[in-house]
Amino acid sequence: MMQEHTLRKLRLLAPVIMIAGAGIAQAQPDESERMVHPPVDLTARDKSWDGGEKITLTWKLAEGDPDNVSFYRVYRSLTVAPLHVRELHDAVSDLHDDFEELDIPRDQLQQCIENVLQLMDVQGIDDHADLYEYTRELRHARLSMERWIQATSPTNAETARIQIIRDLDKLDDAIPTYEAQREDDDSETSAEKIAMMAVTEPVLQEIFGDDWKEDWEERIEEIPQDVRFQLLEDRDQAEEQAEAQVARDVAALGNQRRYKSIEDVKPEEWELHRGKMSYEVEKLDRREKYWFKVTAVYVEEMQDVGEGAIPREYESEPAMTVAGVQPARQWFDGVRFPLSLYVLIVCGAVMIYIQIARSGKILKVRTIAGLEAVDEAVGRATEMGRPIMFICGIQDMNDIQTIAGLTVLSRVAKTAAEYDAKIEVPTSRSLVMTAARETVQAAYLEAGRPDAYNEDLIYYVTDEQFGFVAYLQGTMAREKPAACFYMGTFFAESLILAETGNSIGAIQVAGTAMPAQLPFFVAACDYTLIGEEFFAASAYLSGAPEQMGSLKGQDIGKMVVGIMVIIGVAVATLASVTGSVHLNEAVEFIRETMLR
Amino acid sequence: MKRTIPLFLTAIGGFVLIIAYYIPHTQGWGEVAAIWFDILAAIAFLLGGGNLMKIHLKKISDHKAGWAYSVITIIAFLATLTAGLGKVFSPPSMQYPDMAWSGSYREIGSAFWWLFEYAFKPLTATMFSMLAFYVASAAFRAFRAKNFEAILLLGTAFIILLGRTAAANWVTGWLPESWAGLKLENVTVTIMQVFNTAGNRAIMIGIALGVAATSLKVLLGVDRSYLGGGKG
Amino acid sequence: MKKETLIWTIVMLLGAVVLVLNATLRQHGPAGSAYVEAVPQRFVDVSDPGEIEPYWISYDSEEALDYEICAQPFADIPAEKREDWIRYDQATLGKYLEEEAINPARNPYQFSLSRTIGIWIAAFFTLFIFSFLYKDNPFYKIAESCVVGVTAAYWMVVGFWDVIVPNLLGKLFPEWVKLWAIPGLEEPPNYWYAVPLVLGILLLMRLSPKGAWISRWPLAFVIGTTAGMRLTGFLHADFLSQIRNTVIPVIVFDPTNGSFDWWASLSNIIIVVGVLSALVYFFFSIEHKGVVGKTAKLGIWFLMVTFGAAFGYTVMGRIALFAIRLEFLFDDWLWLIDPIQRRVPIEEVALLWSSLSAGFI
Repeated sequence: MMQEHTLRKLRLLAPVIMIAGAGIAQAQPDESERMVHPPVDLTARDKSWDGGEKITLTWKLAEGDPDNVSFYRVYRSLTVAPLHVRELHDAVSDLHDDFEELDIPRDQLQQCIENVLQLMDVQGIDDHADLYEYTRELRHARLSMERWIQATSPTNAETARIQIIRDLDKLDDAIPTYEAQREDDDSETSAEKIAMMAVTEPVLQEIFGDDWKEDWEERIEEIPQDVRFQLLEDRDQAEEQAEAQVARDVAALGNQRRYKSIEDVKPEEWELHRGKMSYEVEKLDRREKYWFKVTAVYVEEMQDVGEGAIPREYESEPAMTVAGVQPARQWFDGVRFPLSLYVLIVCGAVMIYIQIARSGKILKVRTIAGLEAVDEAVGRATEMGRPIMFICGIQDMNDIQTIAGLTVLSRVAKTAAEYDAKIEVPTSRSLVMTAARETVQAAYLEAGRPDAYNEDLIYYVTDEQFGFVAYLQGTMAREKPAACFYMGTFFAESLILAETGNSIGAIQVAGTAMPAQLPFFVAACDYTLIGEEFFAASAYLSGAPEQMGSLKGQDIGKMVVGIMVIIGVAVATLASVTGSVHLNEAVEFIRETMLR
Repeated sequence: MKRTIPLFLTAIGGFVLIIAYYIPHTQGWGEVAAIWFDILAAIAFLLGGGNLMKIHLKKISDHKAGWAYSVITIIAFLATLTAGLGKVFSPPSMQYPDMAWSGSYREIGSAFWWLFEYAFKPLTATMFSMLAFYVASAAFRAFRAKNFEAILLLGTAFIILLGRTAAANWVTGWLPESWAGLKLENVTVTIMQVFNTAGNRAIMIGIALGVAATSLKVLLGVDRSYLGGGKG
Repeated sequence: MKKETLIWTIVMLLGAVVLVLNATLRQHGPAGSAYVEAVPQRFVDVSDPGEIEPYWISYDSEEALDYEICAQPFADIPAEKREDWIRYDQATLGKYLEEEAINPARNPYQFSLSRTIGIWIAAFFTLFIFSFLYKDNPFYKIAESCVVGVTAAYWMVVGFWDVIVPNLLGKLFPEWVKLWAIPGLEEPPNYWYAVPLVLGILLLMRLSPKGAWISRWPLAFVIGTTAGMRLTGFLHADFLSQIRNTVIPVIVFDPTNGSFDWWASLSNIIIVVGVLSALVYFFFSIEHKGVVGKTAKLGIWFLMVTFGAAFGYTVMGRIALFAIRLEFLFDDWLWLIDPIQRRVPIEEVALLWSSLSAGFI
């Protein structure tokens, strides 16, 4: 069977591919007119208290740093394919992060990247179709990013641009490694393929002329049968010969380790003082052993920069690790230790204050205008004999905002039950419908009006964002609710809803934690609960003392933030003014350890 | 019993995942929970779809005002459902041409694809594009800004809008290089990078605290409105 | 008839007449027509007689050269060893005309009735939705009813084929799913997935009047796991990273020459003051009076500038969306721009659609 045949051969070919790669990685210009000293004492050790994906490298700076060294280049040994897939995954998710952090509206890229990630998660890019899909998506992503870069003013947003360009490179880096691997696997470039084409090409050329490459596939039936059989035979022979050649080459070269460069790093000011620096290699696979090399690189400064000129690099001999290091996984993720402290502080504060409130101490909170308006809105709906419309966002129950929206619904429904106003809850998710029914039913029961509860007023419309909005827009225009509540996660539809509500003269109260949608609610609604206020709403509306306690707990959290920021800024400023090594180390510690 | 078990399930589910977050061996549990949720949500479609059918069939049988539109909804719903679940006109996949069900349900040329391309897409995209009008009307209304805050919002919006279009050059292009910082496109960048960053950070920090407190209340059973009424 | 209604009726009628004229008087057939390219798909099973699993390859591929069975004309291959159908790819009138001029007898491009109807339906749907801008009307109601029905079913179908089949059935009964839906599936069963199945069945107990209370269990589980995940997730991602980014020096020196960088310093001061004052605004337990009140006021101003910036930033994107719809109407449907559609259905439009359809703006 053909498949097996190919597989067997591929196994034979693998070392050749490795060697070819090694050749590329080590091909450095050999014109060493300038001598760069190598770094010394390179050590690699597993990072403790992690999930088994990091190794810390430490080395002494090369002689002549910083005058003679521009940066250090870190290499690590290559492993097998699955890791490439993971790198790819990481590259794309980094990119994703960039776009979140830079306050760029989530347009352009989001979908492309989601698609890529989904593809890789689901499929692990195992076959051609996926690879094709994946590269296509990536091309799209790239296109949008380039457009984005062009669109931002060229003189500014420099950091953003640099970061994105770096990510573009990362993506590019990831594709060729993986693609090379694929191509090898498909014997596209292998000896086998070459042998095959050496035999078939002339025949095809003879039959179809010089343009054979264009249309031989369509005209394959024109090849006489006997010629085809002859071709098959010849090819088998050629393949056998190629295999033998490969085996000979492998024997001659021995088994070498192949490296790839992962990062160029520059020592910080204080590391220069210390004469020693370290670097953390990330995204490793704990099932693999790794070897590392570090070289010192000097880049010649270019005087007169011509078009397309590349600055000349001088790379030192490498410092290498002798033994392979395997990252290990511990039972506690040390990086997340500070996080666990914050969780304890915030949760502890909330719990303590809830307890204090339960013991009978009255905790005061300030007024929030939007929440005062809830009773007014429900009252007005009753007076006018028109319904209340309540929308818990367009996300499902796995979004905390939906849950927060439901807690607000519970209070609003209770008030509505007391006033005997009709409350309508269209939902865009089936589970939310279920949960909203439970919530409203409980609220009616609590208000002592279980008989007035009508399940049919809480109903599912469609999961599709704009289908849901089309329905709401039409329904609002027809039923003219007197009050509209938007409490939950909203995307672009926020403005359609708020403007439609405005046009029918409804009192509108919105609450969301989507920063991008807040402006539209603020502009078009009567009251908007901004971010944290939205989460505080249910506590306020319930008026229960224990709920007030939780608000007080949240304030403690904010105080912690204030203190952290003030201390951090003070230390960072002192470090900037004095340039002290210790203070800089302290800033590094605050940012990278305490706030990671 | 009717309320204790759900409260217990909530607390267990939540606290297990919180702890799992710190243990490298179990850090993947969150993802598994997410997949389980997707499955549950997909099963819940039966409830949502059933409800949709029920409401519209009732409207039709009661001959309520506009019942004819309910007929359209039901036809559209059932047609799409049949086309998609039955993979109507979907060719098999290329690797398994002999297996009729192996192809993708949204293969180009299938009935489901047709419905997506010529009904789903134009309808939702047009709905989305109506935002162009709503954004204009919202801005127009905000022009009658009543207080300082509203003026601030609108003024900033106006500067950013101008700064991102060719108009920027037209308005402040005459400024000399030494005043470059006042050119609209640069003002836009400053606002985005300095003011917008500061505001967004405070909002995000607040949100994180709000989420934490809300989650905690849910896990501790302080907030349990979703559990419905009834004794127990 | 009211005056307003009369005017609108006339406008509508005129529009219809123009439409009919535009559609019929064109040189190359009616506007809004769709063209496709017929691409034959031919596959051959090249597995050896003794093998259980068939191995299919494309008859028209390079790989086919390797097999003797493909050396004969497609029609001569035994029926059980071959499969074929025709795939219709999107094409343009331009392509059709080009080919028609060269080789009318073997033109792979052809007129597609179903897709032409599709374009016209899509165009009318577009107009129906826009008609709401005037006021609510029967046309909008038709479009609304359709969009609800189609989209609700659409996501259910997606849920079935993308979630239920691979992630539930495929995990629990891989052998069975392999037989009909996912032929390549090679995974041992994972019985952990019985948990969501049981939860799902409990959820469906709602449908019986007695079992409603049981359906709260899966809901409780979902809410619990959501709360657990978000609690740590938000504190980690938003809380810590935002504080970290705010730890910045408020006196900055230029790294190149060591001089005082007043612009960077000022920016940093504004950021720190902005973050802190806006946080003060969110304090719940202190009334906004005195110093706190003033600080909170400053915080509100910061928030308003933030909102204004986001508002202004999105406006252009919205107008672009509208432009895309107009392009569809005038180009794909009415053929007023680029009449014989020489343009290739460009990737970029598809891209724009895919990113916009996410709605994450």
